[in-house]
Amino acid sequence: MNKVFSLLFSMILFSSLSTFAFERDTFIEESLENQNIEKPIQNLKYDYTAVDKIPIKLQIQTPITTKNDSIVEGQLIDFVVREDVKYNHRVVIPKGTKATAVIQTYQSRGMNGIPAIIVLDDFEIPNLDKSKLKDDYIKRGQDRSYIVFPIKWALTLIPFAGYSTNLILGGHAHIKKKHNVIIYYYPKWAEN
Amino acid sequence: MKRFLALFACFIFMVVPSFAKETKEVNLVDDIALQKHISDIGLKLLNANQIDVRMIFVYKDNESKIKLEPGLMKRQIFVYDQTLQFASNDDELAAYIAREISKSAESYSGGFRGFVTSFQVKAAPKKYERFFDKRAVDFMVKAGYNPLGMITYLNKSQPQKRYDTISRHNLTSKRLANIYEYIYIKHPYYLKNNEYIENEAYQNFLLTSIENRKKLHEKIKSGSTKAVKYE
Repeated sequence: MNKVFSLLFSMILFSSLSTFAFERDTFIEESLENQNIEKPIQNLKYDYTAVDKIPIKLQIQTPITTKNDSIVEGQLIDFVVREDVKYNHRVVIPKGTKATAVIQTYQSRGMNGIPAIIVLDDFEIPNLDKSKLKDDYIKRGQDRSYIVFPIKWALTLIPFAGYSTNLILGGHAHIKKKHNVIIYYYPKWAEN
Repeated sequence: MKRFLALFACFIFMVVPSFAKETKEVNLVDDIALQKHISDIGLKLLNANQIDVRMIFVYKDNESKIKLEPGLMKRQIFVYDQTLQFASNDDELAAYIAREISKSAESYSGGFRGFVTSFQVKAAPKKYERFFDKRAVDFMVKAGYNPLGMITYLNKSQPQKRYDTISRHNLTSKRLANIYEYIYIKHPYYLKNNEYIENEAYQNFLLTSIENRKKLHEKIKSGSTKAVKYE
């Protein structure tokens, strides 16, 4: 009987030791402990047979820019629908409807005229199924590499002179009130 | 004796090709299955993320020594044996493919049908590296893959250089820390419900990223929005 107990005890001990052998991500445990986090939405029930496509013109409420690192990933951005969105002669989204989007990511401008990039996604418009929106929007800054690369190649004739074009930076990416942010609504796409 | 030898030689010549054929057939069947699996993952990533530009996914056994970036030039994404040997599950394979998709999709934008942007990506890979990593994380999530697979895949497959100041690539530890931060901000669900906590590669990442994770911890505690300088 003692043998059985000792065997049982050693089995429990070894299994518990192997569990504790793993490093725990305590930072995550502490910071996310009391937060109710839902599983991110996946888009797996797609059916792209339908071709009906309606543009939705949006206007940003507070302009954003990559200048001075003034934006962060995950930041919520407010929009307003610029014009009535109609489908089959019926207004689906009236003008002035509020919408939101999230800054998916951005890239600051780079050397040799490489422009900055802002990527927006997760657009949300009231009473509109998200799975029917093709909702990523990419805004780039001024691309100066069209000028920079030819100059760089011309300067390569003079030793090391080509490197001087590295100092020319690309343009910042801005989304201003005057910009038409266009995303597309596909009314016949499958719902998720 | 001569007759016997000639007969034996004939027998050998007859047998060898049949063995060769069999080996080739077996390899071909494996290759077709692997190709189908790679294409399925790639196309699922494209469809789930509504990426409406064409690209194909090709299984190839050996990586070419001359890196011509077929993903940028022909929108053809090669998955080599050297890539597959580090991918222990679909999340990790999807991580590699998603990253190549984000690079390849970028080659469709910009002047001359994307030629200029492709040239920029080729000329400044370090600049675009983190951008592609982050987009790939989002692609994975929307297609139903666990983005922590990106961390384990990179941790297993990418070496760690001494410096990256004048390098064309970021230090892998910096890339990993940036991906971890991005997952924490955008998709904390996967960290809270961590399926990779007992994965050796993930544990190794936790071990080697203690200092970087401390920096992130301080950033979040302080509510700062400044970019963390990871090591």
